[in-house]
Amino acid sequence: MKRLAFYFDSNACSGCKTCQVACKDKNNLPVGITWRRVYEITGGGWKRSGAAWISNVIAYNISIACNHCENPVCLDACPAKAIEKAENGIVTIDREKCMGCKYCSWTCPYSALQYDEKHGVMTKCDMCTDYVSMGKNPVCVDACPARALDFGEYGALVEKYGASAHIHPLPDQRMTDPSNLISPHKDALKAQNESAVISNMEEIRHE
Amino acid sequence: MNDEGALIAFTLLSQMVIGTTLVYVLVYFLSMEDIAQLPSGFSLKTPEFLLLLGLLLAIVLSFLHLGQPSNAVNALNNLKTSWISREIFTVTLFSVSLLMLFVARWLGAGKSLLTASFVLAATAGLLLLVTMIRLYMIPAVITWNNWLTPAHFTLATLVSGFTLVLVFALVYNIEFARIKPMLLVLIILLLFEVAHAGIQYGHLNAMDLSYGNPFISEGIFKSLTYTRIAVTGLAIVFLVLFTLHEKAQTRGTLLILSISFIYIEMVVGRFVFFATCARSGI
Repeated sequence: MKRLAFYFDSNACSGCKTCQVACKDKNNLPVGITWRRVYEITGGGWKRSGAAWISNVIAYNISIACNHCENPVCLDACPAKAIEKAENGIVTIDREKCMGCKYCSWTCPYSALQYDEKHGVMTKCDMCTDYVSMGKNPVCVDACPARALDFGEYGALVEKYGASAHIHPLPDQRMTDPSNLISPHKDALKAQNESAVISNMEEIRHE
Repeated sequence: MNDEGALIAFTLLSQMVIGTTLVYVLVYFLSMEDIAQLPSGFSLKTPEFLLLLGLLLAIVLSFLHLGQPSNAVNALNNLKTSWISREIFTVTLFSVSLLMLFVARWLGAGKSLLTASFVLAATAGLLLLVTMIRLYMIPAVITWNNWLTPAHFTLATLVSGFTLVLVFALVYNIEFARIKPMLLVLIILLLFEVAHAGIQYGHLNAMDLSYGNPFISEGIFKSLTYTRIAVTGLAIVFLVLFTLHEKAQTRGTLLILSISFIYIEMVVGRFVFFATCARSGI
């Protein structure tokens, strides 16, 4: 079984949100649904050291969509078996089966599953299955001007970029084993210790 | 009715039916002759008929939070791993067991069949309670994935059960001395409710929530916790006064007041439970 995956380099991301817009555009997503989102993490400040002021400012971004996890908790939680994991590792929702109970959105620690109010069903990133079947990259990957995103077979991405590391405030990777490798920003460890926060929650919140 | 309203109504009503069934079964084993005197068949005074209606109403309410109720036929597709599928299975099992109990009493079944029906109803009710508890203990929802959830659901089930059986006992003119132990159990359960509200407040406030929950951090949680404690306290006071008074009319008023406060606390408590939902991660 293949394991298609995303790669994200937080050091390269400028937070321009082109990936988010490209995804919305390609999938014609309504207001309130953002399959790929950019979280802005901020914290810290200036600290006095004798006569000088030292910057301890924390600022970085995380672009994230569905991680098409190896252990997709949403799939186990869905009572209708509307969520499936394909041979290539892509996790999709069958809208014809979904009853819109929203339980999957409670169980996913990445907010990947989002409710379509108009149609009464859950929706999520499908890794641009149509593009992938044509040998192309998902639209968010090719749209990124900073080349912060990449896509491919998990093993090949690990070989290219090294193993994935934890980045604050994403949950512990052991929870779902996400198919999303991350190169954390240099401030990420500091952010965890200093309780940096998501500063654009109102912008990306979806209920 | 919004999603939360439908879920609050479904969980409360179904737990009320489970609790009442459990206490009803307990009463059956403690004094079978009392149960034999109760009405049976299609009457609003028949306990199991009322319980069935209550459960049916709860099931109807559960449909209101679905975005695509027409796809609810798929709800049992994933019994292997989904707690929702298991909950729907156990709610069906519980309905069938109550129906069996209704038929058994209606047709005047023998002691062994009647006992089996009571045991089956209690077992199915307990199974439903367990699936409801497990459904909400989601690893990603750190405010629910702890012992406070089973404590909250079990207490709500037992408190509502004892309260409703108390109402039934008065409707059926059961002697006061016979219901007194039930009153004492109810008072003890309410004291546990007060403790639960306080512990829940302290525990959730001490939690490190990655991007917070405005309900918890902005003071509403505190106000509603105080409300719960005050309302439960009043219910306890009125129940104690009820046990001390001898005039039937005063007793009636005291009981209505205490039951009203108990139900207000239950609704507020369940609203607080849903409002404290906060996930780990993003």
